[in-house]
Amino acid sequence: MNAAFPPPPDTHPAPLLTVEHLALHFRNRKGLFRREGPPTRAVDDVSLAIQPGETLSLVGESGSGKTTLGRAILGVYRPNAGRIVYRRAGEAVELSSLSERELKPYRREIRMVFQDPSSSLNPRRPVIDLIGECLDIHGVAKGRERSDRVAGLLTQVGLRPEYMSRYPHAFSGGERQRIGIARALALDPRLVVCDEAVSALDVSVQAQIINLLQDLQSQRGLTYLFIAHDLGVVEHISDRIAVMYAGRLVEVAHTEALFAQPLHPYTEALMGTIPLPDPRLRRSARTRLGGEIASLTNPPTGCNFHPRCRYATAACSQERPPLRVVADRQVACHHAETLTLKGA
Amino acid sequence: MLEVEHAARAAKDRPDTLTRKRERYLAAGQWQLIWRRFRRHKLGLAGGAVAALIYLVALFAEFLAPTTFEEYTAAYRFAPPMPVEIVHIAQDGSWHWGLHTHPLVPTVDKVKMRRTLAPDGQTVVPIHFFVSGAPYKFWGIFPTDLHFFGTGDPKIPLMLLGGDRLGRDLLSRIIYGSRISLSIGLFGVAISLLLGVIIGGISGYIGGITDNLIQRLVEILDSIPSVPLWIGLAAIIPLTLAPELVYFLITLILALIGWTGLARVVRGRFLALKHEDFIIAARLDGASSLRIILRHMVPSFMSHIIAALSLAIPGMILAETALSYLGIGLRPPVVSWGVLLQDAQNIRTIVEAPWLLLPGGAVIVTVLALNFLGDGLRDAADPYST
Amino acid sequence: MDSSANLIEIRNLKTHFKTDDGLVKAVDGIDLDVPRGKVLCVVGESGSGKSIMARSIMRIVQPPGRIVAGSIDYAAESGHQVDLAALDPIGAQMRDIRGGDFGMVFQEPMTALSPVHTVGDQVTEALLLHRQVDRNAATAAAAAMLARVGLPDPTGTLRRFPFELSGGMRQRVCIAMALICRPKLLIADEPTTALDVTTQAQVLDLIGELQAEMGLTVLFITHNLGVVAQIADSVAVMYLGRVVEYADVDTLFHDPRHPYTQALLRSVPRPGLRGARLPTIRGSVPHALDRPTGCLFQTRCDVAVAGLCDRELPPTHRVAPGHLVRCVHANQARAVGEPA
Repeated sequence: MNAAFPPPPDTHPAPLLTVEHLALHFRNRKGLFRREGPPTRAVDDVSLAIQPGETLSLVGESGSGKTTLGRAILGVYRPNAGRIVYRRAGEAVELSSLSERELKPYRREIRMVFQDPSSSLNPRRPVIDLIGECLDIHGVAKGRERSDRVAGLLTQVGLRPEYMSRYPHAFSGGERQRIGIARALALDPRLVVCDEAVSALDVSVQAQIINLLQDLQSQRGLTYLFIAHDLGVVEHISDRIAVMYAGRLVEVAHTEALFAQPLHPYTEALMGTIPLPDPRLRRSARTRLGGEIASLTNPPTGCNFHPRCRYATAACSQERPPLRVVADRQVACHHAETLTLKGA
Repeated sequence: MLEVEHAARAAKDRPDTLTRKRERYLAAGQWQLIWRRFRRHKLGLAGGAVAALIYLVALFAEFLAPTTFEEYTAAYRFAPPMPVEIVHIAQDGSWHWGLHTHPLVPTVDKVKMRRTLAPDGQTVVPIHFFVSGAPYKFWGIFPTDLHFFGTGDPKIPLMLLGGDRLGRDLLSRIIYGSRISLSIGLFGVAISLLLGVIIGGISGYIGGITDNLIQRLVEILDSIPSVPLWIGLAAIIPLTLAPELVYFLITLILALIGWTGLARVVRGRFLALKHEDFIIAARLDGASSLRIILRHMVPSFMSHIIAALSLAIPGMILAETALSYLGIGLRPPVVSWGVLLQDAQNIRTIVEAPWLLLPGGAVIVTVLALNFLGDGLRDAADPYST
Repeated sequence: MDSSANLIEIRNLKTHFKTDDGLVKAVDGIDLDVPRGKVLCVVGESGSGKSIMARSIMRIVQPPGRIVAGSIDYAAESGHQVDLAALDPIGAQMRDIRGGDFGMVFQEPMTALSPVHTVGDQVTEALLLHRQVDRNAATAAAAAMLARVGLPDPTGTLRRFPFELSGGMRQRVCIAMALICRPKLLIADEPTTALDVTTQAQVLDLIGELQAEMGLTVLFITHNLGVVAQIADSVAVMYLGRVVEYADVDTLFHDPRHPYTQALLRSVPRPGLRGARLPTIRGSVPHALDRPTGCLFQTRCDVAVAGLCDRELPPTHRVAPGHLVRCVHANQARAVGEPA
């Protein structure tokens, strides 16, 4: 975890991975004759830098594009525009331009932990094969050495090595998630994308997995891109937070700064809705955010948050605010300097 | 304390109080779970047992049959089924033990005013096991004359189910016929399976225009009525073609039209699986498409395929039987149940020698057994559904 | 039964499932009072049996599950007391109560709504079944209800199908469906878990407003302690099929007595704890078929007393009026210095 006082964002000499003006559109065919409708802009001109060793959280609601962005970084989707640049041993590689075969060696270094522990493990393979498959594919270990490595990984995530002959249905949700984490770590990656990795878990299990992720990070020097919608969890483990709304980045800041005072109205609204675990701190209905999340096929003009924003002015519907540096962070709002918003 | 140390301490504290039964459940793979569920399906088990028995009979047909399929005894034309008894009471009142039958001799049926054959109650012909009989080649390779059971007397045949119009033993012919009928079912379905999985898999995995084209082809094939199509294709086969070739072509024809159903199922499963998290995880591991298909997707629907297969085999058996019965499938001297049923097309024959319908009974029993087996397998096939 | 205070009183409810692997005691001896006109939150994690308990009240437990013991006493309209556990689940009396007096909202709005019927058909159905109204009156009432739950264009929505609506809108339709007959009791089984945070806030507000407006009794099931703090009047904490603590919401959050409740509250990430380790509960929830003897929580409890907690079930201690705890340590307040 980084020091308390945040340096200006993105001035680190060599970020581990940068996303530059990334756009991901999904085509829509509607009607009887499968005419092209307007595309779904899942990710709409997003630029972001992930620093080595940090935990950067990507926060947003459904339709924000955070999952799509995470998967694009992993190479599951090919971007329609923009680049994804990964730095390794001093040289920069543009991952988004590589073919599937060229991408293969990088798949060892960027790995993913999935949200649903049930559907992310093939129910028909035993644990040793689930974790060992990537070892086979990359030719890392065979036979005895392979099972030793799997045993080591299981121990590191807190499971008994003799469980490796069992099948996923033998484990609870939390244990399955540990298996998923072991699988992600099998090839000694540098960047791990946690796609809502704790969202599907019970509260007490969530705490265990969060602790485990933190321990592993300090042991192995991992970098996390943590995708989530639960601001409470996010605040606990992140160094920096990037907030997304309807496919666009609205705010990127260090955690304490963001929670002390957000600069974007959507961030303020999000914080206003976290139910706090203390009945004496009930939130009033005045801070509620009305309306529905902006459409991705037909976004509002200008700033796509303006129809729901209580501070919107005429300028907000005309021009899309760029993500720019304001004080100690990046914000995409025309009024970032003038608004005084409430923190958590 | 680190999280893993917490977990390890907790694991040590909690003794593995799992019973053996629970441990087996936890370590059970897909097939073991399916077998467990299948075991509880009584009808499926019964069907499976009967089907296995029938296939065993087909495998050892030459040995199990009392005689060969072409051996005939002129005096026993249209012979009724011969009786089998254990105790014989001689004319002098003495009791003799031993499995035996009685030879058939010509008699006059005073009621129907016809000459028929009836058993001669006084002459005893013992039935022996592992007896010498008509010579044959076991599996076409090993010449021998050992039969599982028979009379041992070359002049008196053992016809437990009667004789046909040439004096051939119907039971032996049914047993020999099982080999042909059942193997056509297996081979035909195997070819269908291969075609269905490959084409359906390509369709589902690649998607796009390929998928579109393939599905339209499937629909066109499906919309052609099957029986007329079979008849049309079978009628093209020249009459003078060697029987083995005819067998091969019939199998091919049945398979070529039957693959479409399987292809659709496979395509559907591929489409559904493509977006499953564990498939994406395999891709992110760096797995090639082939590896994903073979190691991840196919095992996922293998159990469904097996259930579909066990219901497709009886369909093939019935199709072959129908074609041969109509005279456009297999032809004599090849023996299949359908060919045997050709002898039963004549009303007069049926009235006078009703045992000639028994090959139909064999078909019914086999198809029922396979259907029950298929039902049981289908119910058991998805052990991961809650 | 004190029918002026409690709408439902559950005594020693047991719902067991006979599965191929053994007997699963999903609900194993619950005593619970559902106070009239208030919001009772039932909190528990997976395997706690909270959903099964709700379904037992509604008598919609699927076989092989059965209520094997206990009573669910409901203070019916007529002033009588009806034991719901003793009724025939598909009989006329239970059906009247289920649709007419109770309403239920489920976690997944997409699967709770029929994809082949319009919203209007589904919302008016309960009204037509349980109240004497004609179709026009029912449609008008449905439109009014949809407006009340905050759906824009209520009359248009009546003609739409569920797949045309967003998740939040579907859940509002489900709430409208549940409340259209003006029931006495609303059971909500994790209604906001599948929704976004902002939508969750809207739906919680809505439930709160409707509850105040109609004098509803609400049984709200959740695993999210933040939600509990937000809307509950009283809380019951469940673990492995039993209620381990019952108190009003303020007491529960500020003076919990059961070790499980205390541990649960500690493991929620909250502002101000950044970077520190989250306190966790040792081990994991025992499998439903490997239930410990004695107190169910003792295998993971830091203050379990060997020889006592692993032998017998702790009795229910009455720490204060309305504060019940099933633990031998119930009467010890939390140690000074523990995080609040």
